[in-house]
Amino acid sequence: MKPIKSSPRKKTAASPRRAKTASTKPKSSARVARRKTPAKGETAEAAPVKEPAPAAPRKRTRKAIPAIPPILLEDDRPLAAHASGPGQRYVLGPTAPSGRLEAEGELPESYGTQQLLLAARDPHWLYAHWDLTREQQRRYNSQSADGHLILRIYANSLRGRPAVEVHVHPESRHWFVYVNRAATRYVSELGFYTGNGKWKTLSTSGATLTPPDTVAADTSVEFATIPFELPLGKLVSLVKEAVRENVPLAAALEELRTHGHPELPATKTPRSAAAWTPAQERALAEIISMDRVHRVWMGSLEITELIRRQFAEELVSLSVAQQIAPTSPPGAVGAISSPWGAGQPGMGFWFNVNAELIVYGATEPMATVTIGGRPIRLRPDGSFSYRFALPDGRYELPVVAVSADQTDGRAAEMKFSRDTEVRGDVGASAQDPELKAPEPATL
Amino acid sequence: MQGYLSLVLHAHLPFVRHPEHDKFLEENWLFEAITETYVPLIQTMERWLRDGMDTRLTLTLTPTLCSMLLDPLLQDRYVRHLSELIELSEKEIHRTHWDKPFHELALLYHRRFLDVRDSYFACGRNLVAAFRQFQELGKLEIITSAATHALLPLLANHPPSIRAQLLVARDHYRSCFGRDPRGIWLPECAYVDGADVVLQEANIRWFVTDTHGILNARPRPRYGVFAPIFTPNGIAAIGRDLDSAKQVWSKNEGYPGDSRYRDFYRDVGFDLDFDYVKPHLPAADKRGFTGIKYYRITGDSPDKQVYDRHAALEAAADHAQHFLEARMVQIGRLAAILGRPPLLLSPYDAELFGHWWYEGPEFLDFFVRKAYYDQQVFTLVTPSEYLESHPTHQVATPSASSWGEEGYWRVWLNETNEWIYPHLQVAQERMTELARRFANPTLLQARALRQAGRELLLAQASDWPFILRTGTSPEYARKRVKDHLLRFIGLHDQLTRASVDAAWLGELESRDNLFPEIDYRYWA
Repeated sequence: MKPIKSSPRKKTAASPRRAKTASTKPKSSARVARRKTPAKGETAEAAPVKEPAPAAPRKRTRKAIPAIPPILLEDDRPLAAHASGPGQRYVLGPTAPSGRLEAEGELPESYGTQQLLLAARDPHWLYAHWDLTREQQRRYNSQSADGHLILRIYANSLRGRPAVEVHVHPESRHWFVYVNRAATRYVSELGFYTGNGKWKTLSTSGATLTPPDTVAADTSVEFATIPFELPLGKLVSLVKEAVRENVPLAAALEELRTHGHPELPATKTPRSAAAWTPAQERALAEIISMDRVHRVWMGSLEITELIRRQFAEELVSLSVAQQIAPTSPPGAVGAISSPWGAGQPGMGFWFNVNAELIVYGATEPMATVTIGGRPIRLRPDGSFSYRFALPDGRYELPVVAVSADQTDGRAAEMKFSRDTEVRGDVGASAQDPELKAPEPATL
Repeated sequence: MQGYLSLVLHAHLPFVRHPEHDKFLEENWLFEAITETYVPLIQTMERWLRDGMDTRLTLTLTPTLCSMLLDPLLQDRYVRHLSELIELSEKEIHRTHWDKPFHELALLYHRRFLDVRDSYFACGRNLVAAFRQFQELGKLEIITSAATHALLPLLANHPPSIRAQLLVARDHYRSCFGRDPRGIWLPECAYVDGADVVLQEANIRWFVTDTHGILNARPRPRYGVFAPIFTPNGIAAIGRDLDSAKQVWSKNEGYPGDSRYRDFYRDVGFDLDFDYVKPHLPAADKRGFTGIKYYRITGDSPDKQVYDRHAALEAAADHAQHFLEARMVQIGRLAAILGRPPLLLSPYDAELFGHWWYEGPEFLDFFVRKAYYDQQVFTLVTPSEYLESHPTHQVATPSASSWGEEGYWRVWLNETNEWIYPHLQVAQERMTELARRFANPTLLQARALRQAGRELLLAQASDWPFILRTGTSPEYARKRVKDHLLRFIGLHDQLTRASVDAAWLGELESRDNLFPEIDYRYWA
């Protein structure tokens, strides 16, 4: 499951990213001209994460009407026995931090190990990071004839001509580098040219392998039988005893079989393997191909992302609608197309009204009370308060209380009617007029 | 029978547990999934069993999810959450007294929440044990994942980290299910060369890759994704079937978008008067989802119509029938071409069923029943069962890949989250140094070493860079990475430079309390 819900908690300010970071543009040439200064626009700070705007203070006009009994202003939720105190039960955690783990400070800006990290992130992009302190970086930049460091990427090994040479920004400590070749081993080195044009290496990375992005040309077929019931550990030790080490298990098992190990079932090459024809190959290719794969990138991310994006699009159209309907209350979504859809897009002024009824009262705490024939929960003090949506029509509502020992009872028959006449387009949505759409970024 | 179908559901949540706060918003991810997905899945499987059906399903329960499902604090909090939900549904029954369509739905929610509570208590609040029972009956194969769902390809430059992620997961699975896992869900289906060496060590026999992980394997797999391949180290890699993926996932063609299904976003937490719903919101100061939703997707119109449960179930039955027929045609066609019975593997996020797609559990129920009773073309199998009866496969090296956007690891490594990896790199190397240095630690040092391992694993979770990329709760994700790394750094400093602060260590152990038996020597 992908957690996609927002955190409505008060958020601490994001710590500013320190490293100037950037991606190189895809480069087709094998080697970037030496001493090229970093191009403008190659460095881009990551977009700051937009914080949700704080909710506007609620204005509850209802509280201003003096005639309403105080009980109507109470929460109609029965008090729970284990509530820790008024207002405490729903206090959000992060506002009440405890313990000393909360003050844990910030991560170090760098560790100064001078290590160069290189990792492929897809068939054509590598990520490189160099762990230098600001002081180290300043010192090396000053020794560099270019005033900055240079990242060299090599295919296979650190020999010959680099596949890519990137002049990085003086403050940068990482770079995304485009490389031409999928399914290739890349290594990198970080360094600079000294004043006399001599290359100085600061550090070299381990190797990384770009994943392949096409089907293999090699169509050779080799089958293996790996008996499922035999633990792999046992198979491996068998192989280690009988065959030389560092041979892949499948190959070693085949080698063992040829030497007649009775505990290993013989590999039975599927009947179809021998008779595999070009016609079968073509028929299968019609069913499945990488072209189709590319059209169906659907994974865990996609489903949540699609829902989120679809929703975000609706909210974008929503904000556009708000701009062209300036009479809408700020933050209200009623006038525009939204998942809650109270009004019509671009309508301008709008109005929703609805009615709910509150039935409230009190009796002995242990009594049984039904409203409309359905038992309700009493608060510990015997009081109760229930809301009823009240559509147009005439209604009867019996409210009955029976004492705990079943010897006494009281009843009230209440009758209500509602008859609404509207002028103009009036919505009936029951939603709170202060309803705010969740922000796309927080879904 | 002409072929096989494996349905694989992947249930995962990052480890979110905050004893230091009375109520914590992100813990709701777990609570919602229990109510809407995990318990309905158990109830569905119970009905299959009751009806004497011999069914097969495969389910990942990730180590972090199991840890949370077994945690007494989170169990208590879930019961509290569910009680609040039941209370809201009671209030809704009254509130909708004169509004029949809504009233019926309020009754439906109330009944379902009570059913969930009954099921939850019937298994002693232990959903791990409930799932385990189905495994022991041979109806369900439960597989594991990396310990904290780390994206393994991004650990490729530090093999001990891959080893620790997989072996800690294997050990945790043993403690939960009393046996070794036979299959694994590599986080985000992300395979990288070298992972199979550790899988071999862990005796894990198969894993799932995305389609191109098989199609781009070297040499080219003859049967496409319709048969497993063996990696050179003898682990079966099984690729995702595209057609069945598309029918369920796709935005335009996918079933969950049908207008008859329940709308996910239209929730009383947003619709009703704020004061009324406030006590039932995930966080008291902001509107949010409660789980009670009265409208159906309806269509493009902004005017959503009231959810019609009967029509929605009909849609689920229609879609199950369509899915069934499509698989029958597909398998029949493939069997004719391949000359051998094809294996289709259809993996989905478990939480799609119920949480996102409310009728998903009913779809699954209808589909499995139809597959069991109404057709003779394919058999539902677990991958292990299939491999037992079909032990011969082509040997090829799967392509490094994932099922994320564009098929590799761009989602987890980009400008929004790259800052994590240099810190991880240093911490990973330090962890290996510690594991090598402390061959004979004192009891206190051993506790600190184990906690350092836990903090490192938690920092490696793929969920944090994912959330940073999608921008859903970036501050929370950032804080989690930072906190775990800082805790690791503190432990490392104490172990290498000073003495271990037992009180501080105790506090860490009580908070990040997963994997109690973790073996830090895996990093050596």
